[in-house]
Amino acid sequence: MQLTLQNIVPSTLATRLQGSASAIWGRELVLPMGSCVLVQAPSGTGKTTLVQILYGLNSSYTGRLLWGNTEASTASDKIVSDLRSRQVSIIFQDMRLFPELSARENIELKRAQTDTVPVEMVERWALRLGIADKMDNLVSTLSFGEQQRVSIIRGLAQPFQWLLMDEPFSHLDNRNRSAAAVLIAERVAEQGAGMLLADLEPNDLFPYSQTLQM
Amino acid sequence: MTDSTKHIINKLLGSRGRISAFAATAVLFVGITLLLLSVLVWWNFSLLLAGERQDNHATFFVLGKNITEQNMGSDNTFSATELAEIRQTSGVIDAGVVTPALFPAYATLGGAVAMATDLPLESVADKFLDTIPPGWGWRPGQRELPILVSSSFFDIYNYVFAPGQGLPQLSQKSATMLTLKLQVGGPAGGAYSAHVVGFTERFGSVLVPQSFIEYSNRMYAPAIEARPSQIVIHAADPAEEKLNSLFRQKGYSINAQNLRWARLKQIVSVVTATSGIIAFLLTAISGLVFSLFIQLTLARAQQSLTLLRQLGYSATFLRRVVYRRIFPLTAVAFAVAMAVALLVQSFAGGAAKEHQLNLPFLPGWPVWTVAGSAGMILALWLWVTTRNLIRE
Repeated sequence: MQLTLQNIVPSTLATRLQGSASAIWGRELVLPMGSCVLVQAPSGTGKTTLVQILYGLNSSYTGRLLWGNTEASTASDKIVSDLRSRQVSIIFQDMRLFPELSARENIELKRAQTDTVPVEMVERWALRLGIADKMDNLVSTLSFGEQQRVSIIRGLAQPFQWLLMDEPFSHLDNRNRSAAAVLIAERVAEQGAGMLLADLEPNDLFPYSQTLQM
Repeated sequence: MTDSTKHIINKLLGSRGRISAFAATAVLFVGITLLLLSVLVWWNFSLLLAGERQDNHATFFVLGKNITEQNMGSDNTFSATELAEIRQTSGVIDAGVVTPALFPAYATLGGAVAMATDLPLESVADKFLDTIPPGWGWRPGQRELPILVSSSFFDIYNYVFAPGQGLPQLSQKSATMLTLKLQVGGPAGGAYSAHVVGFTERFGSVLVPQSFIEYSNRMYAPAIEARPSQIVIHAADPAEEKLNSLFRQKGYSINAQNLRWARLKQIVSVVTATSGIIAFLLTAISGLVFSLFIQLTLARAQQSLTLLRQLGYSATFLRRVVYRRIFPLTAVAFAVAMAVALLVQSFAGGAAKEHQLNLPFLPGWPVWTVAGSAGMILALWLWVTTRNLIRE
């Protein structure tokens, strides 16, 4: 599934973007399936807005977004739900975990939606990211770094054609960042999927095929 | 969806609100139970008041003309025109004459209950009788004559006449075993063996078959026209004010004792209707409380529901999870309320039987209909509430 952005201008950035050039906003942009995209820009330029538009969480924009051949603005609740559980996965900047649930339960909510990733595999991922012993702890008791790793595993525990990531490593140290990046790269490769990473600084965590400055 | 996911989503929807869920279900149960019990009360009273035995009191009554200072001594019988007019009156189902005997009738009894008395005989068409016992009827030439004695007339014998005359009191059963020698039309008239075959609550005299009165009036009083002084009426509702005021205007008197039952029926109807309205309101309030509990539960879980939607759970799926939580609670409330209704009806049936009244041991169709309708309305209400709170 390719992602097509046609002259998209978010309403929150419309005034600021008048007269200025952008690699994304207000122009035709096609992200082919399997591509690895880095969106690099400073804070407040619309990285999160872009990720949310691509995931269908933000519909406050002009222009058109196509998920394959599906027009995002007219897609039904069923199509959007199916897209989010089987085709497009996300790792939120603010994690968006359920604080009243344990780490395992947070991941299980995503994994059991399609039941395509075995529980044992999730346990192995938790071991690799160093949170195996925290899986039964309430998320509200975990550090930001631990929560971010739970969020990453949750994002990988479903089938996807695109993985959208919004500053997914902001709370991780270098060691954990590398471990998480390796795991993500493996999973993306397994699926033959594309990935889009929005971040503040350039990085060489993934073999990017495209880098976009906002 | 796996069991673990169900468990997790239920946890997000507020499994900690179990006490609230129990309280809301209990309120719903109380509301439904009150509604069903009020329907049971109304239905049982309807059966008791409209039953065969009670129907005699409620829908049949005897009409006469008021005897006043002005009309005493004059002809107070009903003409054919007046009878036709009564028959056409709104609310009157049927009307017939009470034909009086125009000849003397003298009864004697030998043995332990030795007595002799004049008997006031009259007759009505069989369709107006409250009881038609076996052996009722008479044909010319027949010496055996069945008679129906008024219960109040029989009470006068037992409680007034017998003690004063030194005669034994009689049960209804023993009275039916006596044979009265009945002399009609004077010494030169006919003699008959009369048997009490039953007792009437509706008429205040001694009834004989219509054919006997017609034959004897022709035989022993051919010159006198048999004009009735009483009319028996079958009415849809004898207590209906329009009917009564019309009869009062015309100067007719109505058997007040019979009317009392009809008025009692009206009062009971008003009381049961009022209790039904109150029960309906309480049920509506209990439904509202239950609905508010659902709304509160979903409002508390709104953040979780939003995040679940963001993770790819559809509104349809989440609504289904909510339905699975609330419909079993509703079903439990209804099931227990129905069980209470079954128990109460079973108890009412047993109690009625002890008092020689006939009531079913299981609730009838009105109870099931109201329970079904209330269930459907509540289900629809909860469905709409949930749909509004988890929008696509």
